[in-house]
Amino acid sequence: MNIIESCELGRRFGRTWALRDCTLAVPAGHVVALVGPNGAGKTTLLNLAVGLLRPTCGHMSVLAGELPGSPTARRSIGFVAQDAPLYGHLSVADMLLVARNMNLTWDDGRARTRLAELAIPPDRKVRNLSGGQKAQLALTIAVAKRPEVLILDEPLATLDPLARHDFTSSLMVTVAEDDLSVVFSSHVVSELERIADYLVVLNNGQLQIAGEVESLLAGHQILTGRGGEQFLDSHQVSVVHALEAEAQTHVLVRMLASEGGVPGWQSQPARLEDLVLSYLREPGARMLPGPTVAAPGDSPAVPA
Amino acid sequence: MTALWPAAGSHESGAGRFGPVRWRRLVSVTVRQHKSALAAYVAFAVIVAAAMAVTGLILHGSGTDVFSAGPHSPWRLYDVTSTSLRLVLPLMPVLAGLFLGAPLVAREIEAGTARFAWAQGAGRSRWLLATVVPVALILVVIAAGLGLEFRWWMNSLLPPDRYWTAGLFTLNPLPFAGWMLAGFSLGVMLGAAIRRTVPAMAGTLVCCLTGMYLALMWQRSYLPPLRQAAAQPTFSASGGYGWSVSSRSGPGVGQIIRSALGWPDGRLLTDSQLHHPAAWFRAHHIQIWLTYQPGSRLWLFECIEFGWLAVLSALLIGGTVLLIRRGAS
Repeated sequence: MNIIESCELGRRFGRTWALRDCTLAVPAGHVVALVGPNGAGKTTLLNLAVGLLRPTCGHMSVLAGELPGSPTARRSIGFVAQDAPLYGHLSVADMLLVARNMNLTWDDGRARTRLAELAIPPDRKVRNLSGGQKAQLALTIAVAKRPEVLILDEPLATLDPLARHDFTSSLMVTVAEDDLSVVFSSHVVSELERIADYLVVLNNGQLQIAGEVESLLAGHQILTGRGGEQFLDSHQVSVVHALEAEAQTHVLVRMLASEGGVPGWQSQPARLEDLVLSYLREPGARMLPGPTVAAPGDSPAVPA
Repeated sequence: MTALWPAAGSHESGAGRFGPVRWRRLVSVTVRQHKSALAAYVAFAVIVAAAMAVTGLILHGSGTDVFSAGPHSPWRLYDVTSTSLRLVLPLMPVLAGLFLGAPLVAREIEAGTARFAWAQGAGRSRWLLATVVPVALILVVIAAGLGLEFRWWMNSLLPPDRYWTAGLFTLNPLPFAGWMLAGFSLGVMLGAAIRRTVPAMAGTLVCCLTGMYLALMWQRSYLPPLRQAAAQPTFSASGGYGWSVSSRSGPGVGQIIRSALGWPDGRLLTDSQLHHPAAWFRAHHIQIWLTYQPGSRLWLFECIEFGWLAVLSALLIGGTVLLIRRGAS
């Protein structure tokens, strides 16, 4: 089952395309990192997935064919929007009550236990919580719905390193307990490797990379050698990004052949951060393994 | 202990079949979220009602004619209270639009909490209706109550035909409730359209005041007025004519729209005929003809005014639902 499928999806704000020609299929059972610089279209894509926005063109479905924002989709998707917007004038306990009354399913015991474990006092006003506590409260509310999919828009952006670590740790515990699929956007690439096992990179409103982290890393190498990138045999590798210095050149390449190195070049495995940054520096580069997406009305798509 | 609510077996048969989120629960969300603003408005209404009750009891129990002169005349109290009520009461629908209607959606969008609310199980339309309708009902009850109390306050102090005057007609229970509903709904819609709280409040203020001013200028003619012959005119030595005050509000006369001299068969005099001497008027049995709305229509006109204002409010809320459904968060 694909939790998100889109076909030639586009969304325009005025004359500016925030997202265009986005054809994507994200399979269930992964922690998906949606990465890109500011203005790449991450929030637009996630807002489209939860039905807060409507596409200008193209088609999108969630949870194997559900329309984003449909009653089933709303019930099955827990969403934490950017900056975790919550009602600041309410107490934490009232916020839980409000969220409970706005949803069909609610695991009250779990929500309260989780907040107790995080030492978030139920009588404190939401506006008086720290950024980390607020993010944790928003995550608690999203998780208490018992969703199948959790969509988090920049959950780490406003957190300090400690709060960021706590947040990701508790997220991973939740994922392990509930067998959740998670899609989260971030431009903090340093922590992705620890959390995500599926990567989607957006740049300038267009999809650059989509695939499992393991296979993406296996398919890329960093080559170090003397001379320019033109000395690389184009039959063996495809250059994604080259950093040329006087002494030597560092090149992130996509391996076209499954075996073997490149003569004259020293190779080492690519790290996720290298891979993401290299692609972001080359907006024209693409690494789309080709998840096939059904046209609207067809049967659900099958990931490659 | 972990409890999934509602119990999995109670609503779910098979794969994920759930009904919509219940209205009662969504209404409780509304109350919890907007209790401060609602409480402030209700407190204001209670103060107005209490002032009306106290002064009304004093005026009705004074035992003397309010309009009489003398050291014990309650005229001063009547004058001050009447003027204040006529200023404050018409502003209440404006205040409802300004402080309850306009921020209702605009603040959610502005603060980003709409992104939270609209992604929950209830959905946008249901959330909006559950937010708007309870507040609107509370406002209608407040307005109808204040309108009834104001009518009681005026009762025996003012002749019934004054209920028709433009400034007071809107304070009758049903029109007042209608204007309250319309002011609030206008605020809600402008909030959803403008998506910023302060500009939406400013827009509501301008639109509500304009609407109230036009209503003040408007001679209600929901049904064609009736005509009847009133008293014989009296003539002064200077050639002018008049007619007794007591005949102004004859049986069944509610609001007098026009009075004019006319023949016994109802035809009105032309301009040139008005210059005849008094003897000519007497000889031809010229009468005062009243064009009026009968007093029995007051209730009907109240219902009509409430009706179109309620329809207008429903259209405004319907428009808001469309805006919310189609718009981004």
